[in-house]
Amino acid sequence: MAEIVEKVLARASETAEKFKPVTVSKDIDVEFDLGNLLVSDPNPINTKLLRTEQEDYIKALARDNTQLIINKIWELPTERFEDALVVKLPPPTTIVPREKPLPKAKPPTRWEQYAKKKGIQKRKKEKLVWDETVQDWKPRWGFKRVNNDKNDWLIEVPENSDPNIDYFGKKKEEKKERIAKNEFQRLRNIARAQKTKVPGVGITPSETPSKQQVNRNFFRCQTNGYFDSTQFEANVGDFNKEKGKNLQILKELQSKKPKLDVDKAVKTLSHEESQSGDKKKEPKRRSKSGGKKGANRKPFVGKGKGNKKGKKR
Amino acid sequence: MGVLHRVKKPQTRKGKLYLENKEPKVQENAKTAIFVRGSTASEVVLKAMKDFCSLKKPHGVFFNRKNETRPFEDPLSLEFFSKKNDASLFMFGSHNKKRPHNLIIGRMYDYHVLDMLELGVESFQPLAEFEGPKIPVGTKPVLLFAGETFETEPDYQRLKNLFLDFFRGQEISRVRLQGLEHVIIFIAVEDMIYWRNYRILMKKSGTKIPRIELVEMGPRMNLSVRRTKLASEDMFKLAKKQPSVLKPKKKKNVKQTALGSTVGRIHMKRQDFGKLQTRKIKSLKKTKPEQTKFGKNSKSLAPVSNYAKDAKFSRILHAR
Repeated sequence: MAEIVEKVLARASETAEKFKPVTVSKDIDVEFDLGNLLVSDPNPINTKLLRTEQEDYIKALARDNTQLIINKIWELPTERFEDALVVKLPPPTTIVPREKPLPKAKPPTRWEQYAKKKGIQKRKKEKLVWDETVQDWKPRWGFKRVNNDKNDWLIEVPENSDPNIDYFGKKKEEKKERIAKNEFQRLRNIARAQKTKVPGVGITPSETPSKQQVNRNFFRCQTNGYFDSTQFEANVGDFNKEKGKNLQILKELQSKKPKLDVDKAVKTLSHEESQSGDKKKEPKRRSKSGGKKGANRKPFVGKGKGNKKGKKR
Repeated sequence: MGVLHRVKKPQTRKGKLYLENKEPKVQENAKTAIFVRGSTASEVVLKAMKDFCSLKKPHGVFFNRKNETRPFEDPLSLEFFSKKNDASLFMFGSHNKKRPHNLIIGRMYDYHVLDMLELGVESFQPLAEFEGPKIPVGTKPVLLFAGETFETEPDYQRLKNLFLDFFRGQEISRVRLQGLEHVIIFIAVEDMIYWRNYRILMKKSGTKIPRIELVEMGPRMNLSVRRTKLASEDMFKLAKKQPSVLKPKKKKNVKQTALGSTVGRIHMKRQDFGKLQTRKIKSLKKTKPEQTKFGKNSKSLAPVSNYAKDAKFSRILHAR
């Protein structure tokens, strides 16, 4: 028994002679932040040694602290990752300031608002589509896409339509229009997100706006943007409200008495009075009693000067 | 009429990716440092900056043109550089009679200077003067901070954070054991910072853990702390704000005791004694007519007090 103990002790002392120790003792425990590979040693510095044997002292200090963190890291569970032995580090405990502020959530576009209200969910579409004519799979969009009529050399003239129109030109024009419309909507969404004035009038996506675009803008001008701010109603709403609305309409239809619009009546009355009275004052007074904003106003679509008030915007 | 808000779309895919990479992110990129040479930089300062840059690579850019700017008086031009290069760390070198061999080290938040520290190079030995192999580019260093000043003085705590920010490189979740090669030590004593770089040698120790030996790799610098311009507590707090996604979710009702065992608290419904399985005795067994009357599952003949009754009773007690 004693022989075995002696042998073990002798081997231990042998290894101790052969190798230097891996343990380090410190007066105050050092702090680790393994996520950052950081060691903070709060032990006081020996200023005397630092002055006399600077390099040796610093090197010894560095060695001890490095040994401590290596001991800590070697305790962590190891794993194999891409043919190398790695250890998983815990997340850093020292918080370092960020370089940029926190990312903000992107404000929803008008379509996203609408879709949310109506409960429309995004559907994932397959990227490849079966092309019947070619009998092969083709991308839905982009290069070599399905149903690509971009390079058609012939276009069939639709029934009951003018054969003297340039249908190639028309197709090009339509494409341009779609692009312009999309750009316009994109800008409007940006403007809405930045809480600046939403461009409604006068801003056209291209240098030479189409007739349709101009008309649309003009309509918006006439209605003072009333139809821009219409609120979307949810698909499944208040049943009682809807019922009440419909009943009201029925009631109005059934009753033989004409519906009396007080506003309108007053207006016509005042108009008649003014006509019978001084004719010069008439336009001024009319403009003052302009009525409620947006109410009882019909959309005016088309060319012409229209309402002069609308030109302000 | 002109165009109101022309928010330009990126023209190329590459440009789009570049802009996306610049945007604020939840998990941020590694911070890039710019090294700006002042118009009066001395050779010592220049060499020191070059060495800093080589250690900081690939997240370091050296600006070799002379720039007439004084960061402590007007940091605007540095902020401009920062924005242009998407770099939030900077180092600026200059030299004059009042502040010889001057290095300014700092960091930005949202392209504005957050912390700035002026260091004087008292003694310097460049990287090239040390013999032996150097570490590969982009090695994550082990950072050592020694001296009680780094722990006790608030200004030095901030400086420690600044040095950590400057030198730590990329944030990583796992590290290759053989890849731990570089050690940087900062010792703070009486307005001086001793800065050394070592290479790690792992020797056999007879155990699983290797015995560590260090070889000085350079550069070697003794720096004196001059002026500092640190961010206010509010500003620093704002900059440190972490996104809620990254914060660990708080675990309810689970605690760790001092001995390291996990203790949990469970909330249960009140036990229904009616369904309690007691000893089965023949005499307690229901006869056929009882079973049909009270149901098969009810155990005893006596009506069992139910929750509602209990609740009512307790309420009455409280009222009295």
